[in-house]
Amino acid sequence: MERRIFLQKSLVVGSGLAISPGLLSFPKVPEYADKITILHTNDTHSNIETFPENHAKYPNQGGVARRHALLKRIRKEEKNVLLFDAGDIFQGTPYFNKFHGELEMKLMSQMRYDCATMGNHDFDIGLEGFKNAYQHGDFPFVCSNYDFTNTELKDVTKEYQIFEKGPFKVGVFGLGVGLEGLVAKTNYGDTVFQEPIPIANRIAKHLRFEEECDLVICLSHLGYKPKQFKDNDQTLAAETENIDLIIGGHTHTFLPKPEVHQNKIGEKVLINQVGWAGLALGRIDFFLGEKKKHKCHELVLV
Amino acid sequence: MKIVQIFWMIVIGAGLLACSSASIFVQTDKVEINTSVPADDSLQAFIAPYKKELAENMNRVIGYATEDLVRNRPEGTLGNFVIDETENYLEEHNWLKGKHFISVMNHGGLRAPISKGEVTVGDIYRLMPFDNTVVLAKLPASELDSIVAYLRNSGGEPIGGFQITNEDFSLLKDAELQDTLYVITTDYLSAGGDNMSFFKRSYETVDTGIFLREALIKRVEKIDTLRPIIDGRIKL
Repeated sequence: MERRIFLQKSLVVGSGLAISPGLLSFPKVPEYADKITILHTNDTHSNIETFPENHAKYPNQGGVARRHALLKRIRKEEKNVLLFDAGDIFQGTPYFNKFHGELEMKLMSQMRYDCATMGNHDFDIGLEGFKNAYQHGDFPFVCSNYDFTNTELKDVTKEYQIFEKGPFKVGVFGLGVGLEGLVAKTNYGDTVFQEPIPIANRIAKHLRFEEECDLVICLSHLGYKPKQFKDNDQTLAAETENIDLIIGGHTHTFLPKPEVHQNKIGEKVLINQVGWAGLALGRIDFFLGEKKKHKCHELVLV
Repeated sequence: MKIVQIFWMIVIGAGLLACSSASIFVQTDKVEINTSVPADDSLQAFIAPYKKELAENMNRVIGYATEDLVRNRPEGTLGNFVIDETENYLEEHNWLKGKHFISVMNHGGLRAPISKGEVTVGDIYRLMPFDNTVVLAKLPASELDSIVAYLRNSGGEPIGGFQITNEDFSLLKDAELQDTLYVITTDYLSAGGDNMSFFKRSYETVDTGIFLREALIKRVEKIDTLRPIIDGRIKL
């Protein structure tokens, strides 16, 4: 549907070009365009090892050593790669109970994660516990709607992070789910949860117009489903602007492919989520058509 | 293929010539991590000592059982241990907020007895091999009747916070039944597992994310000595 609309709008211009012989040999992607590969996981839940052969649902699937091999391969093939996680890194296997998140952080650093946000289970050993584990992490956490001012995590996480990869400037921020009732109060302490959507709009606007980011990405642990939670990735997409991609988590949703939603002003925004336990790696390649001459841009799905 | 090429010419044409806004082209993929991806040796080696330490942890002694703890119907020492120590763990970590909770778990979920003598981490793993988490559910008070009917029909499950006979039932600790029935259970049962359909009528469930197993390990470490308890909470 999206594609058809774009086609109709562009048909007149396109037909003129179709006869140009130089363009007839186009590969699937335009060679001149700069490319950035966004990779992502969510809800890995301390799953370090591949699921056993006799696993009821996912035999022989997942495992960080395989993910690492895959990442190495992709990084060899692609020049500009960013790797993100949308939270709930902790809790799910005895590795977490035994090593309190240290191993997860070390492995994510080895796999060269660029950025992550905190899910509710990342509070499971308390703020102090998170801070201790994070000593072993060498990548930033973006938590835009948790106010940690009066907690041990003050100045430990960031409101947003900007990455410059090749010609790309990518702004990333993170949204977390309401903690009350979901996490024991003793574990989140004086963390203040703030309404995610107004914050998303403020930060995305800043990243797009002040920082002139080519891509604005939200790592969201709000969840995908519309009914389960008041705020979720679909309402986030619909009620915000200036976000290009929402990398979701929390609901362990296996989206077969990234969904295209309309934002508040009718522009396209992508939502993706890849289940849980590191069973899959999400991959989205962006090709920059025209650089920075205009602050607005349009996502074109191919 | 051809259609794709033509499409590209069109979109790029549009991008080059006409667009008032810049275009970002998007291609998507989901890469499944399965046997088609060989594991990375260096990371495997990095994990190995942790894996070894974890295995050693299974043999760690965390307490002592004065007698065998076994599962039984209508009431068994193993079930009572699991229920009571889960309640104690939640109480200790301030999850219950002064409310009177009853507990309902399942006989079938107790996968191995605890033998008299030293209790290891591995014993608790064998008792609870599944990754079940502790769930707090709010039900309409009327559902207590359904729970009691279920227990009478099944011949007994691990319970706590109330007692039942064939004729009668009542909440413990002089608690009175209010509009809401607060129930401690597992994620499996709260989703309607073992035909506990009353949980489908919960109007709120909170998954604490706490593994039942981990709560029990922590509690055994704390109390050190396990003494079997039969207190007549179910008499059928």
